[in-house]
Amino acid sequence: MKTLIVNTAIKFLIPLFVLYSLYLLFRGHNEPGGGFIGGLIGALPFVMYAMVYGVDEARKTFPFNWPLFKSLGLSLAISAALLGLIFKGDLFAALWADFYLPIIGKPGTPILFDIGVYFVVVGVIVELSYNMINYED
Amino acid sequence: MEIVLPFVVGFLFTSGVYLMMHRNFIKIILGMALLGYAGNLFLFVISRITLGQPAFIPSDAEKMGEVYADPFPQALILTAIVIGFGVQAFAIILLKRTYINIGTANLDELKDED
Amino acid sequence: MKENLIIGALLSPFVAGIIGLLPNISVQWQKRVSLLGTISMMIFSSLLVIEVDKVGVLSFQAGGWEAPYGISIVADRLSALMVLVTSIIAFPALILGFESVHKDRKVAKFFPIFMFLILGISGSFLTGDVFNLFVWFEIMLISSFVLLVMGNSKKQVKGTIKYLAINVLSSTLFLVGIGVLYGIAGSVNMAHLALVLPEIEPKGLVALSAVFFFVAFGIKAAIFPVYFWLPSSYHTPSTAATTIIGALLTKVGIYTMLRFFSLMYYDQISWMQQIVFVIAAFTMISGGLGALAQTNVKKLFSFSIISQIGYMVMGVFIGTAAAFGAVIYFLVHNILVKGALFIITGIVGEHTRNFDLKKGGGIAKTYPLLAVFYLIVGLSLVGIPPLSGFWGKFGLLSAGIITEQYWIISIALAVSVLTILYFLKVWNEYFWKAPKVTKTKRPLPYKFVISGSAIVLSVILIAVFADPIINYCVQAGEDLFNKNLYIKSVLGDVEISI
Repeated sequence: MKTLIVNTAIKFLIPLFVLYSLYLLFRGHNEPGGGFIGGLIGALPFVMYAMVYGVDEARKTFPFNWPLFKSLGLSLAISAALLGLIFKGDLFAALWADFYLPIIGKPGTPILFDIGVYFVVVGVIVELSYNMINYED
Repeated sequence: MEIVLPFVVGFLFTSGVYLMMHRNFIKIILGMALLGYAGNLFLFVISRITLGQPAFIPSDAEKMGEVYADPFPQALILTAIVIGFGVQAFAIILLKRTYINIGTANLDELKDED
Repeated sequence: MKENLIIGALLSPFVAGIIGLLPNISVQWQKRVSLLGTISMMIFSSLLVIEVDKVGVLSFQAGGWEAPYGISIVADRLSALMVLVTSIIAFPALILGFESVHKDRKVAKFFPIFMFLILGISGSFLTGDVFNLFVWFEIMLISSFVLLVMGNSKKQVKGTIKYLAINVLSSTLFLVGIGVLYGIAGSVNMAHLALVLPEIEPKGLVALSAVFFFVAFGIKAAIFPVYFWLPSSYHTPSTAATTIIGALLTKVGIYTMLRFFSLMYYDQISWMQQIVFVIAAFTMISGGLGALAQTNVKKLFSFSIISQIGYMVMGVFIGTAAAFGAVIYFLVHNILVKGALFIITGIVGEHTRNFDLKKGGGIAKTYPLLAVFYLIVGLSLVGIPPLSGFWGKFGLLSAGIITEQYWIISIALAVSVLTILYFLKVWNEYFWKAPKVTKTKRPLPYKFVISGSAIVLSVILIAVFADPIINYCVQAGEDLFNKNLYIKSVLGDVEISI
């Protein structure tokens, strides 16, 4: 896609998208939002970048190891489940700290689980879309 | 207006199944998507729609109000959507691979060789 | 804390899968990790069986949320046994995969996906929640899609598309069934449903949801009018994948039928019995005849799966404690024997690069060990007395005779003849007759020998220890029939009203 407007705009949109996705991720426990929705929005800018500049260019600009994201996310989610088992005796039991952090709010295992979901979704969507966009292999 | 929804469900099921009968893989994928919508909408309708009420406890209240939307089917539908999304993504990648490797998306042209 | 055995059995394949999914991990390490995962799952599930045999039912609630609201994970005698059998069949299939997969498939991530398949199957056995069952089903199905298509040949793609389409249809029907169930009963917890379903009016809606579930599970189990996807997709992937998919996936359908129609719908569906018997009879007969007509070994045994499914569906709907027990023993026997048949003929096929009966022959002379293996397993499938198939069929038939279902019993007996016929056909054509082209004998890779011996050993063992295993299965059948133990373990003693 060779349109000047999208080419220029995408560079400014990436941080906005990522920030908004993080916002959705962290408000997800009490309000609409959460790991899956945040992850979808977080993957969008990278997919759009690849649509504008091509997959190879996108991989060069963002040299993240996307497949690692899903392993990381799955491990985070399962460790959230296991923390509940270890400290409360129930798999997936929610552990909450008794203090508040700025932005994140009250830290606890549900947030950890949501972050895991976020990572899995971002990793899978980006990898999937790169595979779909790429015609050459 | 709720009376419309069962008919929509029926229409979606019919067109989904019809599309899945096709020999063309693309239409099968579209049929799968429609079937997914039909199933989700069905779940939504059958668990009694509550209009304009939240499915969670408002932050200034102690418990649910008198009338509230059942959050359970919403959770089920969300899960079902995510799963359907995964299956469709797999199907689309499979379609792409098939088209690149074999050069057709028509099932009739994929003859068994044995 | 005994409940942690359940978590251990589920976690082992899951962690092995996660590690295997790491980028840049070598195939060698993927293999090691999956082997470790399988062995640890085997240990956990054996301990689980021992523990469950002492107390009857182990259960826990995910997140500590109380039963009808949270997700229950339940291991009664049946579930624990099925998980153990899953890990037992996974081991030789994995070893077989070590040797055969890398040769002709694009193997990236075969083993992690295999682990996720095992995870999905054991999860389906252990869950006590209808919707959670749907989720486990999908984990299992998506993994099996990937395993089926891995390698990307023309016939694999064609087989996978059919398998994909029919399974999406079946999942949608399952989802609709869940919708109806939630609409009428307001719950998706199996134990809770077992309490509330008998009181629900109108009965028509209860029956409707039962039919939806029967069709959805029937498609998965490959019963009569809806089995055509099975023979056209199961023979296509690598032997390791065929083994695990062929041995277990249809049996998950049977397991869920057993669970649903004993625990939840037991009193609701007597009108279905004769209809289902007709379906079961057609399933047995058409599977047996289809197997006789095939010349590809993998296709032949795919039809054989269908024929045996007929017996199990029949057993589920005879519906006495003895019949449930017999079905459970038959399930175990069938998973192991079908797995063994796929493994042994798979070893022969991969090694001689020939799955066609007409071109094959002379295996008994070149590889006598494999021929002996096949003979043991095949006789076990047919049901020759000391071997396991006999006890399974004996239990089913006697349960049928006690309840006076004579016509379906006579069909089941007649189909046994078909079983002998196709067993002998494979024996004559593939192992016994002189080959048309003599091939030079190459030594068997040791992994093939380990894999074959392991599975044949387990087939022999379930015959040798038939007595304790049958006792266990009878007890499991009685638990299914009485269902109080299950409900009490999940819900506690509280009376719940909607």
